[in-house]
Amino acid sequence: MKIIKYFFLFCIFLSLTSCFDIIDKINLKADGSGEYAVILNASKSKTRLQSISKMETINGKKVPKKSEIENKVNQASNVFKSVPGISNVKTSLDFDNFIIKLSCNFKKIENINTGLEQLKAKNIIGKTVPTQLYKQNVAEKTFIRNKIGSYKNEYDKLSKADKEVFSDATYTSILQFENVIKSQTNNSYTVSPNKKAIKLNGNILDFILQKQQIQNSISLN
Amino acid sequence: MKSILLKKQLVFFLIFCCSFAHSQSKIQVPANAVFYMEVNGKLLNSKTNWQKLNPILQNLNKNDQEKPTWKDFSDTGIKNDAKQYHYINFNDSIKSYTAHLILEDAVKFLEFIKVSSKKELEITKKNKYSYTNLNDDTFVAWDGKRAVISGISYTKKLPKFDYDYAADSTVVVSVEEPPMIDSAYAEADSTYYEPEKPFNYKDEIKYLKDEIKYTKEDIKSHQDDIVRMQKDIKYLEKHHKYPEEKKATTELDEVASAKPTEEYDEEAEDLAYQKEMDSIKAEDFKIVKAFAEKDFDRYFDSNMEVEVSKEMVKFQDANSDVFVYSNYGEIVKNGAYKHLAKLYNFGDLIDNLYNSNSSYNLYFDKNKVKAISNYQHRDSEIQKRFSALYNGKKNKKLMSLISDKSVGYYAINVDGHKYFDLMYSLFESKNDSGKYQKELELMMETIKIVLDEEAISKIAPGNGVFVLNALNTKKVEYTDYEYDDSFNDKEIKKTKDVVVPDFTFAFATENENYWKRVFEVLTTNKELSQKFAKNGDIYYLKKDPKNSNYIDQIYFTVKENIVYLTTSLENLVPKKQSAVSQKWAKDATKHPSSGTINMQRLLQGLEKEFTTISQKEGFNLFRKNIGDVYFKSEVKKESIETEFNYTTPNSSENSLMYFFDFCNDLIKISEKETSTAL
Repeated sequence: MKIIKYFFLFCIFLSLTSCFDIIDKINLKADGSGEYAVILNASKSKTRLQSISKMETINGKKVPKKSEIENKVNQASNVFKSVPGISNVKTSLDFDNFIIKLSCNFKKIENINTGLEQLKAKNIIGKTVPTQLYKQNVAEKTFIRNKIGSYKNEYDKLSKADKEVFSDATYTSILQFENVIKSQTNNSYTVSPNKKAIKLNGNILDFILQKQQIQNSISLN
Repeated sequence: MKSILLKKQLVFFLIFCCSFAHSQSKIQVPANAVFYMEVNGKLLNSKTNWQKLNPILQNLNKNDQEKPTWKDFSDTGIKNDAKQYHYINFNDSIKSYTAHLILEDAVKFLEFIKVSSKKELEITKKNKYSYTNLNDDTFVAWDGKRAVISGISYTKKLPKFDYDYAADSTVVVSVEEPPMIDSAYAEADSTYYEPEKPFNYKDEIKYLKDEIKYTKEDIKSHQDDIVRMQKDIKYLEKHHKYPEEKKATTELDEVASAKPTEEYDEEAEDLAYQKEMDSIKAEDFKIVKAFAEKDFDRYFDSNMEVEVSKEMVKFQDANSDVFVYSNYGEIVKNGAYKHLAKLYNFGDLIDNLYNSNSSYNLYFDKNKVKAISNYQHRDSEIQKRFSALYNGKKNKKLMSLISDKSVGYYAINVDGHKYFDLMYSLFESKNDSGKYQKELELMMETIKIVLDEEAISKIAPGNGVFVLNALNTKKVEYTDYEYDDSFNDKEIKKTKDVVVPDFTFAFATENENYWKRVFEVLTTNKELSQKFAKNGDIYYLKKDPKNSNYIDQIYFTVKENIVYLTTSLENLVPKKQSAVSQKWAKDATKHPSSGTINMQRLLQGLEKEFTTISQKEGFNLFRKNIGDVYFKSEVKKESIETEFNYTTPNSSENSLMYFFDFCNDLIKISEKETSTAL
């Protein structure tokens, strides 16, 4: 009922809201190889996370221990190492600032898609995480960031407390190229002054609910 | 002789008619109702500003269908200044809500329900009344003067579950719903208890045959699982890992990230499922409608006056705006914990814990909302033990910690020793029910022998206070990223404010040495001493060099028979008390339980937490509208009486309209956000 929903607005304000940022970066060379990095930065919520890390459960879910998180990240790292075309896999875990990083080199961007598929197959990431993210054609000098489906249904199924986790979370995507960018199909991406990089930034919820589009087709000179 | 016989017959006939008439005269609220509410329409109507309320109700009544909304909610055909009676009761299969209303204009009332339902209604006309259904489980009946709303939820009765077998066996018995043996059309009494049917061997045979069918399917499924697991074992013995292609996912939230797979025809499955659900719904509706009609027949055959048992209204104040009674014992016995209690054979423990009534009188005064609740255990002996628990000693020294600047406090003064008596009585059984009752009793007797109750209660006799002194802010550093012209990232350090509470928790003790020993262990134990240290009589949590603790410093000590735990040493010094805080301290000393929160101070402290524009707007709205909270509990009239007060700002004409005004403001903010988003 509407009244009850509005009344609990205050309780939501007082609830354990936290924010985190996800950044993914691709640096692409002309031959199609490059570097990939993904950063999960929850440093802004570190005071709350430090309290949560001392608890057994939160919102009805078990709080993972430091060793469990390390284990999971190492598993992900091993999976990526096993993907042909991927090399120089590095991970870093900063439990003081709650920052997790994973980076690697690739021979072609589709290796990253394979890596994500492998992570999904081994249950290291959830089944709903999209994996066919990128496509490129070196000869035609095109790079495509694929569309991802809406996750509105899955989001709607979350409890109010779980939804609050996403309320201030942001997503940043950076694509850097060796060649100059000729054109792109999604103007939400900001183009750098030297026209060799584009950046997309927004609230994670907007991407989950498809209020902001992530797909982009880039033509290079 | 003949005339004497005739006279006797006449007298008998007259007595029979009188008792028949009397028994049919009033409608009884079921004695086992779990919830009963009486709304004093006269008082509430005098406090309602309908001009202000109508637009709010119209807004709430809107929905996506572009149908007209009722305009004037003060003129719905319902007599606004008459009493309303609402109650809920349930048993195995039926949960029902009933509301009795008095009408002043039946025609207008019919118009109102037609407009409010926003759809065509099928009206059934009976001899003494008419009725319709607003949806699959809500019915409304009316005649010229009265109306009844009935909401019924029906769940098919499952076959008797052998709880003893389930508790003993290592295999969980799956309970299957019986095939359609719905005899819910059977005579139902006013409490909706389905009477025990006479045993029908043909029904029983049919049921058992279906059970065999389901069990065979289960066996086949289990056998398939066993074969699969045996294959997995052989593979693992040979290869020491699972084959990738055979590893089945078991995640329940599997969603295709791309297209749905070709083998699974989701649409056809959905359609079949929908058809089955529709047929079940139709069947259930027939049953629910029959129950509603039966109830309406009984009501409109009576003189339509509602009678309530004395027990339910024992604590009712005729001057309250709303009175509510709830029967926790029935809720637990017939509700969610019914099968749980039987399954785990807790004996009478669950019954004893919940076998109580609570009554609430609600008052919408000019500048405050007051609610008085009376909790009473239905077992008078257990109630006496509750009352004894709430009869603790006073402790003025503790309450001197409450100061003028305090944001709020919560204080208790109970008799800790009596807590044990209460606990023991909860485990007792009046009728030796429960499979393990004897074992439980033996366990309790052993505990009584082993525990030195007096010594334990000396550690914490039962006086305590929690005082929230202030909400401070501290700066914390965090890592963020910034980007140069080419979008290369660089880590930077930023700072932000977080709110940290400044509080004191203190309780009385009659065994100071015990607590000193506890604190000494914290500072001398090899592992704990890395976190705790001591400075004279004061023990403290060491400051974390990485600043990783939410609360930087916590101090604890014991002196003059009081144990303190606080975030600041200044809090240990008794502060000057003004008239207001003296009153708080006096109340806190006097009552077994009491507390207050100064909401304006609380919000002021939390201000830094609200950073975005929409959060700040909502926060400002709360700050403008929020009032203070105060409550106190004490033993009164063989019950635990709690008075809860919420002071409302003067912006509205009275506390009732305050809530509607507040809701209206919330709706406006929410609509503004929605339109901005669009």
